[in-house]
This record gives sequence, C-alpha cells and structure tokens, in this order.
Amino acid sequence: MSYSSYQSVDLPKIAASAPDMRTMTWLLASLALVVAPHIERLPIWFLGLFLAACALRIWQLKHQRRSIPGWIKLCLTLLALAGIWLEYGTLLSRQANTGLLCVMLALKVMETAKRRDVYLLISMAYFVAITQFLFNQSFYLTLYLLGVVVVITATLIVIEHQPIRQLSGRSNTQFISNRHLFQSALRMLLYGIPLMATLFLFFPRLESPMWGVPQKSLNAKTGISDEMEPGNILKLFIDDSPAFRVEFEGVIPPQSQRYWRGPTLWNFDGRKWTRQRTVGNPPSIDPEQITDPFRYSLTMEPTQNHWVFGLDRIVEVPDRTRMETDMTMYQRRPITSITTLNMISDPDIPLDLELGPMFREAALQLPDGFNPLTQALADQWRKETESPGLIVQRAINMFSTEGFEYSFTPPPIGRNSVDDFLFETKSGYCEYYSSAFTALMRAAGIPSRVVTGYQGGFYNEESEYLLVRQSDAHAWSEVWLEDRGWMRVDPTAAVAADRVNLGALDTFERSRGPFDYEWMRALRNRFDSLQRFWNQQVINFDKARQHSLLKPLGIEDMTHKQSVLALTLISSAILALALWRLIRQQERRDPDRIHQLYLAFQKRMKKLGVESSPAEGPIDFARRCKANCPQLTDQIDRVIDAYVQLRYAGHQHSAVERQLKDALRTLS
Amino acid sequence: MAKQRFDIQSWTYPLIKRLSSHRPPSRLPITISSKRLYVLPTRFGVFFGLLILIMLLGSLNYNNNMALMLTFLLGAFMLLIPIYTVRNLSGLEITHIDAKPVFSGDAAQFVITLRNGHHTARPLIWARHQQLTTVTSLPADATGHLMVAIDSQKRGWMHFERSRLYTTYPVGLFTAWAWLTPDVRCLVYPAPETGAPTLPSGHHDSTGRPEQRGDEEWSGLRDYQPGDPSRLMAWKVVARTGQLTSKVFSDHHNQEIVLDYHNLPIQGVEARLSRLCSWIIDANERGLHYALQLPDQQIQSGHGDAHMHHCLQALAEFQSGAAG
Repeated sequence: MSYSSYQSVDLPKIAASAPDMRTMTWLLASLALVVAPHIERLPIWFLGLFLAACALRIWQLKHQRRSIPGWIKLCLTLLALAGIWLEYGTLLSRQANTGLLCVMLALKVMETAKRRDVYLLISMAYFVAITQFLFNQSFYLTLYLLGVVVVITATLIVIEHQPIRQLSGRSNTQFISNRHLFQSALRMLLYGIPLMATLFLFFPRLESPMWGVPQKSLNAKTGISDEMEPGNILKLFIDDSPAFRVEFEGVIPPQSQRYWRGPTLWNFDGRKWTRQRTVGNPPSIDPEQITDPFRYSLTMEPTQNHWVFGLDRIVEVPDRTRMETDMTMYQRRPITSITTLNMISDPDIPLDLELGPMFREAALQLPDGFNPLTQALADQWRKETESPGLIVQRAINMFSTEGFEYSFTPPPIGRNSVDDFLFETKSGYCEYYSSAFTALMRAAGIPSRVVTGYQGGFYNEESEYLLVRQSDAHAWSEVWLEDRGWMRVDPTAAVAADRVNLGALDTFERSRGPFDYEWMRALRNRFDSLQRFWNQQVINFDKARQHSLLKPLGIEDMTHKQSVLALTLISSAILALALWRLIRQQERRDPDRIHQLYLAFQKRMKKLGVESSPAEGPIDFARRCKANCPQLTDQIDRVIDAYVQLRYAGHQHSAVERQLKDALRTLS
Repeated sequence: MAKQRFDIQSWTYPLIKRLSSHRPPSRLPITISSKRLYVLPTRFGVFFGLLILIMLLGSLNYNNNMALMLTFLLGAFMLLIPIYTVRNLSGLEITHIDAKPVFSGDAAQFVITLRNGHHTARPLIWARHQQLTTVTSLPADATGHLMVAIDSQKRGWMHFERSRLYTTYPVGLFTAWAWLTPDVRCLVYPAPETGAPTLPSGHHDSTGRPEQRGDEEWSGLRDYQPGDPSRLMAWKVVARTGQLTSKVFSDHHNQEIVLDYHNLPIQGVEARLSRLCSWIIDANERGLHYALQLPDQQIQSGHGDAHMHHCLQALAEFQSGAAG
C-alpha cells in the first residue's frame, strides 16, 4: 500500500522554517504598499534602507545565504535610532514614532528567519496602516489602505499554505493563484464589513481622551494666518485643498458678496501687517438692524490655528467661539478636527458707528520713516479733497486708471514697499493692493485696517453647498467713515474685477502646475462632494451623533447600556448569519444546475408515487413514470428529452435549459 | 520549553484532554461533528488580539474615526476567522485507519484515510501525535491520508492512542482541533531477538545447534521468472550483467523445521517468543518450510509471507497463562 498523499512534517521545524520565496514576495509587497504613504514624512534615507533590506533578503533567499551577523544588525539599529533622532530632534513626537516604527520594520525585514518573524512583520504592517490615519483621514487614503489590508491578509494565507508548498516541492502558483489569494482575503474582510459597521456605530466612544491631548492633525493646512506680508497668500493660491464648506439655509449670497472674514490686521511695520492684541467685547449689533440675514453652517477643515471664518459681517457668533471688537473670531483650542459652526451673517449691518480714541489711534498707526512718497501723495489729496469718502474714491480710481495690473508674479519691492508698489511696479495681487491701500488711507488720516480671509467659493449645485478652497484666500481693507462706520473696500476689485466676480483661479494668467487644467478643476469639484459626504458622515461621527442614532426608534439619547445592548444584539445576529452562510456554502453539495432540475423532477414524480432507484437512468425512470402516470406522458417526455440533451448530448444551450424548466413547470 | 509556556494551547490541551477523556473510543467511520471540535486562538492569534486592543485604545483616545474603522474591520475579521477554521474540520469523515503490524519497540504507523464529502475544499488538515506531524489538503469530494505514529511498547494488540486532528486554516489565527479516539488497533509482534543463535535445521533438532549451511544447498542461478521472491534475486549478477537472475537453492522443501516453544534452552516467556520470532523471520528469509508449536496452538508447516505473519500473530497474541 502506498500513501503518497500524506506528508509527514517535523512540526518544530515548520514553525521555525524560513519563509519561502512566495511568502517573502507577498510580505515585501505588503510592507512596501503600507509604508508608501508615509514616505513623504520619513527621512530621505529611509527609502534606501528599506529597499536595501528587501533586496538583501531576496538575495539571501535566492542564493541560500545565511543571515547577516547580529552585531551588524545592532549597529544598524543604533544608527537608525540616531538617524530618527537627528531628523525629528526627538524620539517621542508622533512623526518620530511612526518614523521609528517604519525603520524598525525595514530592519526587521533583514531578520525574517522564522515563521514567527513573518507574523511579527505582518502585525507591524497592520499597525503601520493604522498610523496613516493620524496624518490623514481622506476618503482616498482610506480606500487605498483597505486595499493594502487585503494584501497583508492575503500574505497570511500565503504563509499558512507554505508547509504544503515546501513538502510537495511543486511550483508555487500551482496551489493557489495570486488572484485567488487576493480574492479570498478580500472576501474574508468583506464578510467583516457589517460587523465593522455595527461596531463603528455602537461601540461606546470616549468623552475625553484618557491620555495626552488631542494632537494636531498634521495634514492640516495652515491657511490664513494672523500675519500678512507680500508672498504669504501666494502659497495658498496654489493649494486647491478645501478650507471650509458652507451649507446655506435659503438664500445664497452672490459671488461678489462672498467675503469670508478672518483675522483683522491693524499693525503695520512698513512691510508686514500683524494683529493687535485687542481683547475686547464683540461689536454691539442692534438686532433690529438685521434685515436679510444669511443663515448657514460652515464646516471647517482642520487648521492648526484658532481662527474661525464667517461671511462678512457676522451677527451671530457660533458656539465655543469668541469674537473680538474687530470681528475677528477664534476658538480657545486650535481647530484640529473637522468642525461645524452655525452662524448668521448680514453683509449690510453697520459696524462701529462710533470709533473709540484707542481704536482710532490704532487704525491710523504708520511706521515712522517709511514710504515718504505715499505720505506726500496722501497729504496732497488731503488738501485737494473735501471728505474722506472722496479720498477713498480717488484712491480706487487711481488703481483702476493708472496702469495697475493684477499679477501673481510681481516684481520685488524694497524697504518702502508701499512707495515701490504705488509708484514703480504697479503690479501685484490682493496682499499688495490691500496693504498699499490701507497704508495710503492711514497716511490720509482715514482710519483703516486690513482684513484677511477668503473670497468666493465654488457652489456645488448637486449637493447644494459652497466649497471654499485655500486658493480662494484673499485680503481686503476696511475704512472707517463718519456716520457710516467701517466700510469694506476691496482695492483688488478695482484692478481685477474678475477676481471678485469669478474667483481667484480665473484671474490666473498661467497654469499653476502640471495638472492644472479647467476640466481637472471641474473633476476635483465633482469629487469634493464625495469627500464632503465622507467628512460629514464618517470622519465627523462622534459621541453626540452616536447618541442620537436610535432616534427613529424613539430613543432620543442612547445611553451606554443601550448602545452596548444594541451592539451585542446586532453583532450576534451578524455572526449567526455568517455562521449559517458559511456552513451552508459548504454543505451545498451539488452546484450542478441541471442535476438540480433533474432532482426536482424526481421529487415531483415521487409525489405522484414513482420513486427512482439509484441504479436507474433517466430514460428507464421516465418509462416507469409514463407507465404510472399515462396522462403526463407528453410532459415527462419533454422533461427527459431536454435533460438527456443537456446531460448526455453535450448541449450547453440555455434555450434547452429553459425548455427543461418550462417542461418541469407544466408538471406541477 | 520556555517558549511553550506562553502558548495558550500548552495549558489548555491537557485540561480539555482530561475533561473529554470520558469519551469512549468511537467506531469507524467517524464524522467530526462540531460537538467534537475545540477552537482556541494560536499564539499569533493572541498576539493579534492584543494588537487590535492596542489599536482600539489608541484610536478611541484620539477619537480618530478612520483608525477606529480599521480596528473594527480587523476585529470583525478576527471574530469571523474561527468560523472558517471550524468549518475546515467539521463534517470531515475518517473512513478508515490502517496499520501494518510492527515489531515491538517500533513505531506503529496508523494511516488515516479522510474523506471530504463537502463541496468546498479543506486545505491544510494536520494530524499530530508525539513527535510526528503530518499534513494534507483535501479538494472537494476527495480523500486524503494522514499518519499517526505510535511507539509500541509490548507485543499484542496496541490500541490507537488519542491524537489530535487540527487545522489553523485560513490565516493561522485560530486552531480548531478534534481528539481522534477511533476503535482501531495494531498488531505488535514480539521484538526479534538480536544476536539469536542461528536457526535449527532438521526435523529432530530444534535445540539451537548451528545449522548446516553449506554449498550443497546452493544449486545455481537461473533467469528471473515473474513471481520469484526478491530475496532470491542474485543482485550481484544483476548488477554485473544487467540480466535479472534468481538464485536457486536445492532441497528446501525437503527440510522440515519445527520451532517448538518448549524446546528452547532459555527461560522466560518473552525471551522465548523473541527467539521464535527471530527464527521465523530468518526461516522466511531463506524460504524454508517451518511449523510452529506453542503451548496453546500449533501451526502446521508452511512457508511464505502469509505463513510468517500467521506465526508471528500467534506469537503476538500468545497468552503467557496458557504456557501453564
């Protein structure tokens, strides 16, 4: 007797046995995929280290070389630690930690002698996957990482099959193809999705962190800051990432009114505008003067800053937000997660009809010894012109008639930045204009200040929301006039009306990068609604939303106990279903459709009193059936004819199959 | 051994083994029902569980929804894996277990025939007992074999020792196993005596006198004929000429040997059986005719493998009480 198909294995050897080429290929592929999104955050030498480790390991495996000696590994580890420390200046920050994790992963690749090492690497790979979300939670990254998790899981299956591969020594792919591996891993993970969703919805969340503070979301775009100096906003122009999204209740303001107000800047040092520390009460607004308010909810992307933006002028400040006298809004904690704010704005509301002496002084401040030409021009205007309102008008006229141009590549300006701009270069974008205009007004004795923020936004008709991108960043001015209070003046609009009417991108004279085309922008706008949905429904899901989950069932505020109960019930149901499905799938013995139909025929005949015997062919059986039920001769003949054709004559036609089904139906 | 301490199975197996030891041996064919199955995480499974726990704490703490999602996906995955693992074993049929007789002290090799009557394949089924581990993969509707080796201690019928049939399919996170306790036994012949005196020859002499082995028994060579036993092959000639050649001995059938239990110059039941065993093998190798006389049984003269096994079985089953 020969028992060729059993294979005897020495178990301890299997457990310790080195991964074979197939395991190694899958393992290294998963590691490379999982590390890839981190690359931009990692030191430059990491890529070299990782590739070298992979190449070395593959080479060892191919040529049956022994592993490199331990002291070299130790030296490499110490070097890598030092490298991380040099790169990040610490070993404890989040970036340094992920860097360390990735470096350890690369070093461990060199030391995959045993099965246990492979398992350790796989676990590390899963962990590296999860650390990505500390930096970025976008929809696309999530999709990518899901794919990576499938590959990692497929690697586990590859390892599991390794003993069989080694024992039979047959070619690797003969057992289970790569595609099949990926599919089985995908299926196993997909079966987990309902359970995952249940856990996600009902698993009790923490009210406040157990340790540490919620750290800054590191991919946050700084966006508008509280300083303005030529060149600051330019960085934002090339950044198409969203700043915030706005949903309006009712009327949407026209493009030319979409001034999203951020920090107001008072102090000018000749080049840079900064904020004044004016902690004060919010401006008093007479509710009766509110005429046509815009009501909206504004969802901010995380920034590392405190500043909150709102449609100029804000009459109702959102929760947890403070407003200062100059209408600058901020939150006490930096905005580190997606934050939704409900606000009311009315663009026509008057602001500060009275200006206190302190504010007047601040709004007239100019550095000494800068911009003499501007001062001279202002003095001249002051003599020639009656009222401050006319001076403002004159300045605007100057911008629109005296050859000023809107450009993102202005020539450099020197120490007397305003003089240089107004009298020499005459070319720039919103920062230049608002800065020069405000300085000019101050020189002419008109209280004025710079306001930074965003202007415009893309309205998504389908999903009905307004998307404001970083590239919509803008700066304008406010002047204070007697009896009228603060008035918004946008000198940029005088030069390039398109900037305000169409948006920053349409005023660009050249494409901003290799992928900057009109249709691509349109595509990005389209995809943004997907990302927004993701942000709102998934990333922004929190304890409060969880508690209102069972509202449709009449439970207004779900308690912990209820959520645990719901979790248990639904999970058990899902597990039971999975169990039933998987067992059934196994026990479905005969996938043969045609045979199933024949079985159905037998079943019907059994009801009519004719039972087939196992040794009986279909034709013999039909003969007996016909003898027993002569009235059904035609139907039986049709069934058996079709069956015999399909089964024995090799006809694979669906027409015949349909005929068989029809014939069966007539029998019942 | 230090490593074993961390292995969840190392302390649960004995416990479960003891708890389930009341089960009587079962008759073949055995179908492994889920009632007979046990599931536990492997060492990697425990580690993976801890990893998920750490991920959970981290993502809850940072309230990072995507991280939570991934954690829950892995958690759900881990919860579903035991179903696959159990499914891989449950419903598996053990149709028969065969073991060829062995000499005492050798390992009896029980060959287990498994049948997968199900529509899905059953990859990676392992069997383990003592030092030997075997593995097989069963396609749908197929049979396969595993082996369990059990060291024999003494002659007689040796029962199959409880062995573990297990699988860690599909990803090595969980192991499902069933204790195999079939009602199967293997015949153990006495161990042949080493360095036994040569076989007594002749009808009248069974006292162990050196046998007359001489040239007169050798009668020559002839061409191999199908059916010639391989021990009669003249290998040297074959190697030299390439022709299959058999040795021919004369007068074998004329010599009648009776191996008598009582006529042995040694004491002790087992020692006598050992010597008889050794002589039977020797006689069979030389193609002699021999008869066996035991206190409780007589076996008529015969020759060939079947005769030898018959005699050896008599030795194996011999009850010392019968020597009386």
